[in-house]
Amino acid sequence: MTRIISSITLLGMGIYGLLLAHNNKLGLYIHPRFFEESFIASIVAVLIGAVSLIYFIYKDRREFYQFKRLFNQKIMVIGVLIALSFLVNSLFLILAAFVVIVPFKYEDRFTRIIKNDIFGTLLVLLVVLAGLFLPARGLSSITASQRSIDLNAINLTQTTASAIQNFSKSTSNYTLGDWIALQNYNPDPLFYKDKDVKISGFVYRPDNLHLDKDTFLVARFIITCCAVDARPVGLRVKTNEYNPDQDEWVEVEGLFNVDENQNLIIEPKNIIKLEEPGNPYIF
Amino acid sequence: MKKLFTTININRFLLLIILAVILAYQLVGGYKYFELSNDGQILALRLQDFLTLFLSIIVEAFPFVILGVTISTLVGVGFFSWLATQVKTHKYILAPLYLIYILFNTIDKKLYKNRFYSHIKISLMGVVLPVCECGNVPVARRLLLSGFTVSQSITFLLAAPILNPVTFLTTMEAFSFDPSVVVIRMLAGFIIANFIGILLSYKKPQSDFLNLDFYQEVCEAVDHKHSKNRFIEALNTFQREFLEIFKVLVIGAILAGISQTFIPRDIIIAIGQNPLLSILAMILLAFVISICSNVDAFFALSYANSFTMGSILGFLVFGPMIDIKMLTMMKSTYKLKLLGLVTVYVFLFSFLTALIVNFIK
Repeated sequence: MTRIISSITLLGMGIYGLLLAHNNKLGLYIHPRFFEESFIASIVAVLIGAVSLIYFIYKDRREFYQFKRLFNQKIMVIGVLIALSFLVNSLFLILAAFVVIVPFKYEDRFTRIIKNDIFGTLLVLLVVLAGLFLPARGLSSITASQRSIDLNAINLTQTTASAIQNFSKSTSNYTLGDWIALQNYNPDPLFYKDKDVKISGFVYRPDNLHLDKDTFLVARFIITCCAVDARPVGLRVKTNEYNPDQDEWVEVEGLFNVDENQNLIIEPKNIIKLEEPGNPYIF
Repeated sequence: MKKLFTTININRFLLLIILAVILAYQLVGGYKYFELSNDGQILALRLQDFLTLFLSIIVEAFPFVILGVTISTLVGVGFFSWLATQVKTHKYILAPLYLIYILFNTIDKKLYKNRFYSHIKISLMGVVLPVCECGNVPVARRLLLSGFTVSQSITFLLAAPILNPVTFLTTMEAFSFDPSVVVIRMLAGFIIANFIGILLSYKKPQSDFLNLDFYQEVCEAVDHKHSKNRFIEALNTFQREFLEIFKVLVIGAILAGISQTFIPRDIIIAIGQNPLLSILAMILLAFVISICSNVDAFFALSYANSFTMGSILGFLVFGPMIDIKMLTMMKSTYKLKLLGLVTVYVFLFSFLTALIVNFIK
């Protein structure tokens, strides 16, 4: 029984990994240096999962009958519940599914045997379902507010080194990451005054910076391994007539200026609304 | 028979209730619940972020779990002993492999009389089995199943994530301006893992440290004989081991995701330059964040400006050995008592290392 579920999980995770790679969604979760490993592991998982699933269904009948028997029982209730909760697209109901598991009593001898396994097994299947069916999104301002804006975060890389050399020329192709790295290199705000800037990121209004009502941050997360270690960085922007909401993705074009508190701030020419990109983070 | 009927009835009853609830939910427009109020929206975003963090741990760890389970399966079906005999018979053709074999034939000769020698050798096994922290739990389980002692497996678990080529290279790359970081990290990992392992090896019987479920598995494995079809056996082992490890990985990822979503990181890293508190803060961060030891050097690097060097080393030494995800995964194999002991020792030693570095530099 558990081996069939394990095969399904393996297959599901493999398909999930391949789908992520196919839809360019891997960047939402992990650093590009793990892309190849993830891809190879997904292929291996699909192969082993498929082979063992076929084997356990067609050759090892005992395993299969155990599995069928399980499905005639309580797991069906939970399965239906989970499936329906995906239909109505609600996390709330998935949590409810777990609550439903609790009052079950495993009287049957067979169910007593699998009792130890069932919670973990369902959990595992749930991960696959969650990965496959719930919408994938990058981290939002909620996580950013848990982690302080950190301007020391990027160390000087090769690209930023060349950015410094070409600094006197056009700067409109610099990304948010470049600007943060530059600021790390030279924190003097007057150095950047009147430079062209064109960056994209999500809108973030942190409480702890005490920003004015007409100021927001264009922020992004830096990740080194996966989304778990994400740290937000951002630049201040003054609003023009368009005042975007929290977490909206925007592209800001304008000039740098220095405000009365000696903070670097962007005076925007225009602010355009964007869709969330497949690679929302800075690597 | 009567019981069976009652359970079925309960099932149908439950199913009906659930269907009714879902129907009502849809009719009321409950699926828009989260968008109704501002608080609700924040809750929804928080759940979404939790999901992203949780899945990112799973997606990131998945390749290493596959690698670890594959190695574990290969050891389980006797691939490495087969390889060893092949290498021995063709030692001139496979000379480089033979050298590795001479250095690390621990997999063949299971029990050493000399506990110092055996632990030191096992702590270096990560060099040939470069699995990071998620991958080495299945390998450690396999070591136990094939007759190694608990203390030896703990030494492997603690040493392998630090003393392996990938970690060495990434730490070198990240801290290229200060090579002493790599040296201290490797040395500290080596010493801590061996010390704890050798200390534990004095405890008899070793099975006291094992989780009951896993102990039964060990007992069965002793009687177990290889079936005729190695391929089928490998499939069976792979699936059993994968589910076991993936399950605990999921629980670990949930715990790590929750702690990431709900504990503000500002609280942890508010103290950067205090030689004592900064170490505690970085060790706590390493415990909460649970990132892969192969790349944690890059993460630590970004704190190098604002934190003391000792605390960075505390992070680099403590993080690979113990964190939320690792503890949950190790719980599938060892007793909580042992895990508590190991955690305390690793903490004390990494704290000491960090403190010494802070005082020297």
